[in-house]
Amino acid sequence: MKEQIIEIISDLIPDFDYEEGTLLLEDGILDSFDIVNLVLELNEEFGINIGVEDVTEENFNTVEAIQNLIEEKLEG
Amino acid sequence: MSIVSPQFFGFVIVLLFLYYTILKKMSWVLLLIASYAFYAANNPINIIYLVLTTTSVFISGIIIHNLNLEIKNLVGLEKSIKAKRKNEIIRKKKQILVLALIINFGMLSIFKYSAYIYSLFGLISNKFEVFHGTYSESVNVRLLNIMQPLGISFYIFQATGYLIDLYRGKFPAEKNPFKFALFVSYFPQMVQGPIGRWDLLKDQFFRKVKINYDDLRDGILLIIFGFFKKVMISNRIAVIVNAVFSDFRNYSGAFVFLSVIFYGIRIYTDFSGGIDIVRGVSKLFGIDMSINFRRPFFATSIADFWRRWHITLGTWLKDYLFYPINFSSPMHRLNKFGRKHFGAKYGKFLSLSISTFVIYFIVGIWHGAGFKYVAFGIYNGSIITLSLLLEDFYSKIKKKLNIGDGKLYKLFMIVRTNILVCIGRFFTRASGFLIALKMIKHSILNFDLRGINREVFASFSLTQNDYFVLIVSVIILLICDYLAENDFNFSKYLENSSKFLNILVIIILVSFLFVGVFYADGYVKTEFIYRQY
Repeated sequence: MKEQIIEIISDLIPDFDYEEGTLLLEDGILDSFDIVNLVLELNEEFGINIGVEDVTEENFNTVEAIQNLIEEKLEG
Repeated sequence: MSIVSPQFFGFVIVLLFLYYTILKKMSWVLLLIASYAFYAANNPINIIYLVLTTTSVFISGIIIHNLNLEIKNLVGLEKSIKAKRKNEIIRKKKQILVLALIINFGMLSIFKYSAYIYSLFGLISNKFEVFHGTYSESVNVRLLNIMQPLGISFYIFQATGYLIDLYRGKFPAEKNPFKFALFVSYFPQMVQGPIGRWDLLKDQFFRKVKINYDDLRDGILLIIFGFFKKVMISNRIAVIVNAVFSDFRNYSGAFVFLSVIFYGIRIYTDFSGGIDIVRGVSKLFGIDMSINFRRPFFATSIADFWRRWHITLGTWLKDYLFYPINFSSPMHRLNKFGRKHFGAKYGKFLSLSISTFVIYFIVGIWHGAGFKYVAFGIYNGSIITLSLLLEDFYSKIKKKLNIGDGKLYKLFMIVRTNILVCIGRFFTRASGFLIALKMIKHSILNFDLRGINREVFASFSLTQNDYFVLIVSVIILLICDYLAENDFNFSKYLENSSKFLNILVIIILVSFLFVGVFYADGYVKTEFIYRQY
């Protein structure tokens, strides 16, 4: 799953270079446009429903946090 | 009570003494009383609106919180019954939220736009220029003064942000109405923000009070820096800006353009200076308020500029408007439609462009009523949307011309962004939309650099000393911003320095502050621009 998330982010940000613990929001890698596109891609790819209430810094600051969010959503 | 007056600093000193000594155990109660006293000193009648926002949001918050609990307690029910019950509760939550938003934003709209609407229908006839001639429509002075309560848009945005977060289940509702009242009315944020968040402020308001030397030092540093921006730069440069914008035909196109650059400096030093002062005052009480500016003149694109300018308004709009619009069902459908017909790359721009325009339209009309503000919003929205669409095209041209991402290219982007920002400022500063267009036309068609000369500068009511102070201060500001942009933190530097140096710096700065507040009192009669919002 992690690789899929990294691939989606790399499609959005061509020069995205993933390292363990990279801070996506704090380091300004993702802006609000990217977040919108990322959420739409994730919803489509994993068949989940990430809503506006899930778009928080805790859920989107790292690839690992995004993975946790997706897992949570998949568990229902 | 102006926040750059000796009275205000006297008020803060008395409060600080009580806060850290005899009223230490009821510190938040003291802050609440002080906040209402500060508000009453401005105009006691306007407390009605503050109380209305506080109570409407507080009560709605409690109801929404209880409904959130009801959803959590839906256990042991059959799946279809549970889903039905959940939908009913969500519908109720939505109704409460919408009602509270209508009450508050309805009230805000009445205050913000009714004078303009009245003037359009000729119902008010007294001529008056608010905000140094920016708003030249006919409005009645007394009516307008009554109509625009201090800080109303800031506290309404702050309170409704809390309510939307509650709706999303981000945190539980505050049960104590007085504690919530402090969050809405906290006096430093009343003049011009920043727009605070409950989850960032609540622990700071209600924790045990303890004097922190670093907080006091940082607070004083911020106040001095804000004071420096407001008194040394903003109030002086305003003299030139006001003169040129009141009769631009007397000046060459080059000077008119220079004056809009001056206006950029003026509004930045005025707004960010005021924010520095209130953040500094708050820091003296050990309360960290959100930053509102991150060196906007170093922005490399318009989108970047808006991420650095009035940050708390931008993040408010992003969290409570931009995301909800983009994640709504119609936008979701539009996005799918776009992807299907225009491909994955360009299809997504359709929905993003619409939401971008909505956001910048709101940014525009937040600044005031009138078509020039709408034009300002459309101008910014168009540039951001276009730059999104043309991103690939720019990359190709860059590659073709063999342009790298070096320092020179960054400088080019900074200059380009600042020019675009300046053009946008014609709309907000000129007295009307058509006048703004005429000024832009005049700047381009009569761009004669010889029009920038000693005689023109001598024609303003500024002395040689004023110009000297102004130039030196702008250079100091640029150096400070440049250092901060390159991660130099003066406060951290002092933290790691000797105690002697720290004490010396504090003594020097406090002396400057006292001299500044009392000596410059005559120079700070002009109010903060963003106070009117």
